[in-house]
Amino acid sequence: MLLDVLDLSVQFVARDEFDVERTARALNAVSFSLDRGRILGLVGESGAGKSLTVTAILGLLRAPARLVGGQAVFEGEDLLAMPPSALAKLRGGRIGLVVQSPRTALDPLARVGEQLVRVQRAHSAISHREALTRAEAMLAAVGIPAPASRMAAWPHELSGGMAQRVVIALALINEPHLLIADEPTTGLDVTVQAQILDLLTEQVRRRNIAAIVITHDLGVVAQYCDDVAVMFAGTVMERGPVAEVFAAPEHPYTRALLESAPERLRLGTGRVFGGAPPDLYALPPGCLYADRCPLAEPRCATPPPLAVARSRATLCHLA
Amino acid sequence: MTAASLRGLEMRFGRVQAVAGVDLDLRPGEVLGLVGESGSGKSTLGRCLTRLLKPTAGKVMLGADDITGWPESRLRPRRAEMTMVFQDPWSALNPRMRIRRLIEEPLLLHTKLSADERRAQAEALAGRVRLAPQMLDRVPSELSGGQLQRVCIARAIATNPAVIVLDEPTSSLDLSVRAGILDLLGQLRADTGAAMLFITHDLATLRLIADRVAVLYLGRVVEQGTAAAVLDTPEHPYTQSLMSAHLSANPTERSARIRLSGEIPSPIDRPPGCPFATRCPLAEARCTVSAPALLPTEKDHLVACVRVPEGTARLT
Repeated sequence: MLLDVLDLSVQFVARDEFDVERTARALNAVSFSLDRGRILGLVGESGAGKSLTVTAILGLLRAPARLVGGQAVFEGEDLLAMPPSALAKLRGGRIGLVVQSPRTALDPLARVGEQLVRVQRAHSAISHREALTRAEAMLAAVGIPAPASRMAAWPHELSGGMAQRVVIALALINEPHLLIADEPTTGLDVTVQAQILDLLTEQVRRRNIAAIVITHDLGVVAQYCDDVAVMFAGTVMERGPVAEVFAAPEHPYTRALLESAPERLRLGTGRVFGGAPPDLYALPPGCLYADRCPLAEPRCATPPPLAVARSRATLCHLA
Repeated sequence: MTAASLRGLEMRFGRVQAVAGVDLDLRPGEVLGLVGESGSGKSTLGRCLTRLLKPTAGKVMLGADDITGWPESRLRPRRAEMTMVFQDPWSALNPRMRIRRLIEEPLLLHTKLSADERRAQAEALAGRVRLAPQMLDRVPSELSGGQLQRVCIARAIATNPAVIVLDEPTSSLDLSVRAGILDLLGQLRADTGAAMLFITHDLATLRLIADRVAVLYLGRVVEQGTAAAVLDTPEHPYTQSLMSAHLSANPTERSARIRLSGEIPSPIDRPPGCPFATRCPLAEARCTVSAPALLPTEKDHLVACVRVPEGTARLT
C-alpha cells in the first residue's frame, strides 16, 4: 500500500462568548488506503472535511486545528509522526500538490520557468542549467504549446487552463509518488475541465503513481477515479471501487447524494434530500447521519460498526 | 404571445463586444435555458433583458412594449414584471434586514397592500418557497445558502412577474441543496406561469429544468431549440463538444470524448466570421469570412454553422 490512513482525527478548540472551551470534532477516525496506479476520489459537500483530511496528512494543520490521533503511513513511514523538516522535504518532493486556484498557487512575481527551477532546486542538488531543461520538457509534457517561450511568461499572462497546467507541472516535476489534487478544476469551464482532468489522469497512469482527487463533483469521480471515499461530517461514510459504490451504494447518505446528481434527480417527487450537516461542536454519539437518515432506527443512536466486505467498507448499522 | 424578447441585441463595453447580435423569445410558463462558458456573454444578456443594462444596439421587448431606450423612471414601475435571482445569495440580500422585511420589500415598492396584507403575503410566499415560518424573524447570516436562495426566489416571485431571469441560481450551492432548489423552481414554473431565463454552464441541470435551450458562444447564439433537440442531438460543433465534455455522474456512461483545444477567445477585437472558428476542428477558410446565420435544421431547432445544412458538421 502506498498510503494507508487510519483513524485520522482532528479537532478544533474554540472559546465561545462566555469563554467556555468548546471542541469541534472536525475529523472522526478517517480511514482509507491507496495503491500505486490508483486514483481515489474524496467526495463530499462543503464542510465534510475533505480538504482538512489532506491538510492533516501533509502536516499543515494550524491552530486551532489539532491532531488528536491516527496514522498516515506513506511508503512505510507515518507522516503524522515525522519531524516537520522531514515532512517539508516530502511536500513538493515525493508528494505533489495541485490546488484549486492556480492564481494563488503561482508566485505572481516569478516567471513560469523560474518557479519550475526553484521547486526542483529546493529538493535536489540539480544544476540550474539542468533544471531549466527539465522545466521546459515538463511544460511540453503537460500540453503547453511553445514551452520554450512560455518559460519566460508571467503567471498573469496565462489563461485559467494554462495556469492550471503550470501548477500540474510544478506538482509533477520532482516525480512524486503521490499526487494530491484539491478541486483541481473547480472554476474552470467544462471544455477546459475535461482537458485538465485528462492530463492529470494520463500523467498518473503513465508514471504509475497514485492520486487523491478532492471534489464535490460526482461526475469527476464517476469519470476519472478508481476508488471513492464519501465524506460527511468529518467521517468517511463509505468507500470502495467507484463502479461498485455508484452502482450499489450501501450507505443511505451515499444513496441520497447520488440521487441528487442532476442526471439522476427526479423533480416534483418531493423526495428531495437535504438539511444542514450536523453541528461539529455537538456531534451525537451515534451515527452522524441519523438525524437526516430516512432509514434511521433506535440502534442508530449508538456508534455504527464499519461493515467491511472485500474492497468495500460502510459505516452503518444497516449495511 | 411572448413574455419578453430580444431582437438583434448587442452590448459593447468599449472594445469588448459581450453580446453580438442575439434574437430570443421568452414564452409564458416556459424555461429557456441559456448555456455558455465564462466570457460567452450570458450574464450580460440577462442584464440587458431586465434592462439593468442598456444595450448598445438592438431591441428589448417586455410584452408588447419596446423598453430598449426607456429611462429608469419609466422602467421602475415595470420592474415588478421582470425580476432576477443571482448566483450568490449571500451578496444579494441586505445582511441587516430580517427575512420578513426582505420578502416584503418588493410588495412595499410595487403594491398598495396594507402592512397586514403584506405580512400575510410574505408568510404565504415563504410557504411557497418551502421556507420554515420561523426563518422570517431571522437575519441572512443565520440562514444557510439554500435557505437564502429560497428568500431570493420568494422576492423574485412576490410581484407575479412575467419574466424571471435566474443567473446561475444553483451554482454556488451544494449538491443536496441544489436538488431542493431545482425541485422548487420546477414547481414554480408550473404555478406562476412566468417565463424563466435560466442561465447556467451546467448541461445536466438544463436537462432537468429547461423546455428550450440556447447555446451562447462569444456573444452569439450558435444553436437553439427544444431541450430534447439541442441536448440529445446537438448539431453545432461547439454544442457537440460541450455535451461531450460533460462529466456524467454515471460511471457506466464513459463515452469517447471530443476534445477541444484552447479556450474561449477574448471578446476584445473579435475576429470576423464564426465565433467558434478559432477552436473548431472542422473550421475552413470560409468560416472566418462572415458569421453564419442561425438557420432551421428541423422544427424548433436552429443552428449557426455552414456545415450543418451540408450534413458535414459531425465531430467524432
